[in-house]
Amino acid sequence: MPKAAQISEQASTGKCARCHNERLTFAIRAEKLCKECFVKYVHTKVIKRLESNKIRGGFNEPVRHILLALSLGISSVSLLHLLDTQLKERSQQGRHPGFVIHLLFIDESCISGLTSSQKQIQTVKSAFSAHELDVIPLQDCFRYGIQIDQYSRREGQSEDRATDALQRLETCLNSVSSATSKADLIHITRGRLIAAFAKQKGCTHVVYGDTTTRLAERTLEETAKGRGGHLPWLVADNVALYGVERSYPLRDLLRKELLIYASIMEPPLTLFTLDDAEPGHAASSKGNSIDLMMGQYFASVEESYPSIVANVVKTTAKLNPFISAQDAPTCDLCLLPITSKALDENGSNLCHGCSQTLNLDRRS
Amino acid sequence: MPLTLCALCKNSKALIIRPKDHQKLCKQCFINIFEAEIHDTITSNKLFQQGERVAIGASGGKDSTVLASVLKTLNERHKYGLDLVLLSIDEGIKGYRDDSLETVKRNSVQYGLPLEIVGYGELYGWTMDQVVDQIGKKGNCTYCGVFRRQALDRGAARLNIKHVVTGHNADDLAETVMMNLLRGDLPRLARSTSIVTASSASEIKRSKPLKYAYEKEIVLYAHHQKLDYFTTECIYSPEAFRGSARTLIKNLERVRPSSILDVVKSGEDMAKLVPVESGGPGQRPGDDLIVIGAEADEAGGCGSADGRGSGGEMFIMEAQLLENEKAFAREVDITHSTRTFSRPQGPRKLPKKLPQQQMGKCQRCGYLSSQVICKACNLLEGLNKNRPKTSIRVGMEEAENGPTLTRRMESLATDVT
Ligand SMILES: [Zn+2]
Ligand SMILES: [Zn+2]
Ligand SMILES: [Zn+2]
Ligand SMILES: [Zn+2]
Repeated sequence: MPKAAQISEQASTGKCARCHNERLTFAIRAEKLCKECFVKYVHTKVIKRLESNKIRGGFNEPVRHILLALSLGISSVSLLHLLDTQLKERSQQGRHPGFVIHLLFIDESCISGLTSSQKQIQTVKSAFSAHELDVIPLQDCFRYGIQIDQYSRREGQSEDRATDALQRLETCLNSVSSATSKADLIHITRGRLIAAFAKQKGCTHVVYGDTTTRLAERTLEETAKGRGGHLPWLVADNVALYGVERSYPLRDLLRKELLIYASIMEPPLTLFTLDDAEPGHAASSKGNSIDLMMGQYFASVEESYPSIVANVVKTTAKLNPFISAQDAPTCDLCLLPITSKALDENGSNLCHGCSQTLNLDRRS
Repeated sequence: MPLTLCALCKNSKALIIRPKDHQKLCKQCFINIFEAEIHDTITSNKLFQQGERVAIGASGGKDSTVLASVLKTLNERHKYGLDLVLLSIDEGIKGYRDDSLETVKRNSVQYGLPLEIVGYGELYGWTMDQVVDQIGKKGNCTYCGVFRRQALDRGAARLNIKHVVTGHNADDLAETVMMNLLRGDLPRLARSTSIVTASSASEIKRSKPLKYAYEKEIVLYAHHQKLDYFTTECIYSPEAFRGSARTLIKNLERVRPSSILDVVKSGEDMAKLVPVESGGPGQRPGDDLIVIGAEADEAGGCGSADGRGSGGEMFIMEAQLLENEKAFAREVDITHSTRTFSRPQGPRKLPKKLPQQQMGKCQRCGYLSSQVICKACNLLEGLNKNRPKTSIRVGMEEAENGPTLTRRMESLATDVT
């Protein structure tokens, strides 16, 4: 993955394809743009998504409440910066804001052993003080009724409130053996917790910072985990998941484009990021995982074939979730429809992907 | 070192770690469970009927050799009542095909199954070696795939057989799922994992009894059963998308062995979500076995080269996508400046409805095709146009277009129609 230093090397002096001025330019897929035109390009891509996903309320409509899921990775921080900039511009022009953003950071430092996020959170809070920012630990999932240990709890182990939530979460995560399964379980828990929190806050939408590169990665990751049948719920926009609408406003931007954006802001947005908030990192501490492997794979594909990466995401978006899912029972863990029978038949109510994550790994 | 006992019989020493789930088994229990799982695939999908004549597409490689051996065993053990025949294609690749055909001939004797060989040379007037001489080493897998598909059907027709089984394994299918995602090819994604493919018009049904078998287990089975198979892999490299997908699947298997079957499972589930207009089964349950377009390219291709193709196909697609994007960007600029909300006219305008694929017969060769001219004839036209005059053999003068081929096809296809 290119770091900030490499990005400035990618820049070169030349004629901007849009304003035709002789400037320092940055290469995007089809053309070279100067800083101003590049920033405009990024904003336009995001605004179009906000509009087509009806995230921004219209002139006569009530202001929408949007939850932005912040991971302190470069993508979600950039999304925050983009939305914040747009809200400021609109208010300066005296225009209807259309939406209000709430920020939520799920603290996983206690289970993943990652760097503490407190310093970054303070930096974000003071720089983006216009928006409310909440931090809740992952083990709060139990407080929101998310019983992720339903299948891993041992006989006799009670779920009474006295049991320390953190310990309960750790026990559950340790019950799956591989790095892939652990990352999968954390991912599902986080997603459900974010949605539950959003609902409690009265938010109708949750936005994530995933770029087109990340969504392509996830498409193949979920396919590799046996969750191909759930792709429309996982990577498409405007799908109601866990009772709120979820979308990815950065879905038309490549990761490398976003990295350029983050590096040319003043101050550079890396000021707000946690180095280890990048996808797959948490899992990688315990050995190789599918997430990590797919990240490496797409980093190389994005380098030479960015349009192919984007096309994977466009193709997946055409899958229709409503063809086979009607009246299907839902999975106890990921809450998505079980469209075909899971491998294990010991009375569990799990989809294929979740049953792989919870059961089959334990055998080896 | 403590002796590990077989996880199934708990009696013999465990010698094999199953690639599929890392279970430790003795040799006999591995053989038994491998065969039992294929039997289960066959019965749960009702692949065969009592008394059916079935041709086994035999290349001499590990997959089809194991398929032939297992089918013969299961046919006798479970009294399927099948009449099995080995059907081989001679692509005309010197050094690769000559030797593997010798293997198939020995298999025919070893298993007591009759053998039929159909050659590209006699069918198309071009061997693969000649194709490669003409077009170079890049992209020849396309030719190989399209030609092979027709060749198997025509061979089966000649034998009056309506069912061909092929040795495609779980790794091949998983690779095809990933490849079609990378290529953004929903129609092919929709049909790549079906165990049976039958054309709405063709009488010849195809099936893949090894669909859920791991390549590594096929190799283990062949090894422990001391099967006689040909190990040299096809010398021509796979096209770039397949090569890239192949590398990916191999890496996934290393990280999580169940991935291969999980990808196949994902492919089956995704197929149900492909909208009708993109070639999916849509809302018509039960229709998903019918595949339009008998020339669909299937998993497998040639044997497995190291998985790094030339990159040519990916490069071409990248360039095309970029071109579309530029065209689209120009349109957007126009709409923005004129502030109009009507759909811009331009290169992106699509016909309202994609022309419905309809099966008919190729006007050149009479082979079933969704196009006026089938893929094989199209490829041949290109080849024949550029054929250096000096290399035209006696009797091939009119090969510039189709009549020679038509006659060849007719002489071979007496049983079709
Ligand atoms: Zn400019
Ligand atoms: Zn599930
Ligand atoms: Zn045993
Ligand atoms: Zn034809």
